[in-house]
Amino acid sequence: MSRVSLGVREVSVIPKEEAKELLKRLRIRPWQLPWIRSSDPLAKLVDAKPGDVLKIVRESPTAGEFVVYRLVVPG
Amino acid sequence: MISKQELLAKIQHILPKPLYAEIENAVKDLDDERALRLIYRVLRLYLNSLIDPGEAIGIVTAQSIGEPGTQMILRSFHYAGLREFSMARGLPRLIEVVDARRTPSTPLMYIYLKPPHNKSREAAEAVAKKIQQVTLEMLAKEVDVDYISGAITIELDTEQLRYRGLNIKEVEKIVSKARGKDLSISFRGHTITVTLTSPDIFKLRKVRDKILQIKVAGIKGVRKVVLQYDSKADEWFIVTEGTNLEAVLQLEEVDATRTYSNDLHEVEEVLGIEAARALVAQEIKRVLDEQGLDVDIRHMYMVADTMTWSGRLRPIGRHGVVGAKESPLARAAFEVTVKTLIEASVRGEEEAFKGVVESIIAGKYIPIGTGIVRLLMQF
Repeated sequence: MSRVSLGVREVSVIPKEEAKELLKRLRIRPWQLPWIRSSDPLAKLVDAKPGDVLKIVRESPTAGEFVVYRLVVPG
Repeated sequence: MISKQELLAKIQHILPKPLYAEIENAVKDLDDERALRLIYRVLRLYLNSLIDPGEAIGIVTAQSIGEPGTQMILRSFHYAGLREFSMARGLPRLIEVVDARRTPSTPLMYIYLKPPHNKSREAAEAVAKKIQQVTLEMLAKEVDVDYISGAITIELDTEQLRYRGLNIKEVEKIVSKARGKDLSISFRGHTITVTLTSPDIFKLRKVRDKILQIKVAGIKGVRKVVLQYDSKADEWFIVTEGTNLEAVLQLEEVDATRTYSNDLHEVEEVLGIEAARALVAQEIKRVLDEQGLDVDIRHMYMVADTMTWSGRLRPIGRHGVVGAKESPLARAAFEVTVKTLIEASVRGEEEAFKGVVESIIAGKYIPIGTGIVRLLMQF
């Protein structure tokens, strides 16, 4: 975890089941999540492949901590 | 009736962390009834303050940044505060950020150091010396060009060499790499002589400039270093003009979790899109704060999120966010209308009339607020 910085506290690839549940809860299709390229340093850190969903815990000045999900896309 | 502990456990996932901690602390000494009343009240206030579905948050952001923006000083001067370099600030910097320009007009790096190195000026200075790019020119006491014999003589400054912590052998090793088939370099004491076999004036000048710009030590691209002291955190940090994040982060003394540069594309490449998002918001916030304008940080995050949604940094405008819109009419309504329409028709694009702009053009209800609800009526 040496290079995680500028507002990011944690990153992880979430299991397929959990990703499915998340999409169902939000009532969206996978591509409607924000994207992250698989060549992104953050994606490389957790060794994410295109199609995975990343769970990112951000630092937030208003909410303390905030969880976002990003879909890993090729590139 | 449930106890306050049960209720607290229930709302833990609803409220943001700082708010939850605050209310947990507040009800500590209250009895159940009063605690419950307080918690319900806070919960209701919190839920009421959330943004409703269909709220036009983009427009709210645009207005909230746009209006204070009209108060901004258009051009600003060199400040006396930050010694040794001037920085792009105010409106020019704001435009630079939302346009996601390749290189900022003043590339800066903020280098934070790990504990033993950030406590004293001397320790920080030692690191700063390692970082600053040292060219041969900076080490030279005298440079002499003999146009007749085609020789360039560079006399090195022993003081400078000692200050930079270099010895003559290292310099010789690096400089001799510049040797070519019509270029010979010889060393005698602290003098370097470069001779051209076929001297002509223009070439001689070119070679002179090239030789003087040879990087002898430090990190490429870092032109100036300035030490700064943060009295709040009691630590020294380094601000540099010229950036090279990748190289700086490799250094052992550098705290890689806090160090950053103001070059958005460099940050995106080296630290990732999430870091770029945070930086966009932070830079806009800084610009507005400097001008004494108070705009909520959430508006900056709105801008930053739209710019980084696709996984790469896109400018706001027809080459970026607006240009990526699906609807040809929405794109045409923004800039260069005719060209956009022609290109869309050549490509055979279709208009779905789903967005706000297209709907207004067509005279439809817009999908905002109550207009976002679709009802099927039973006759």
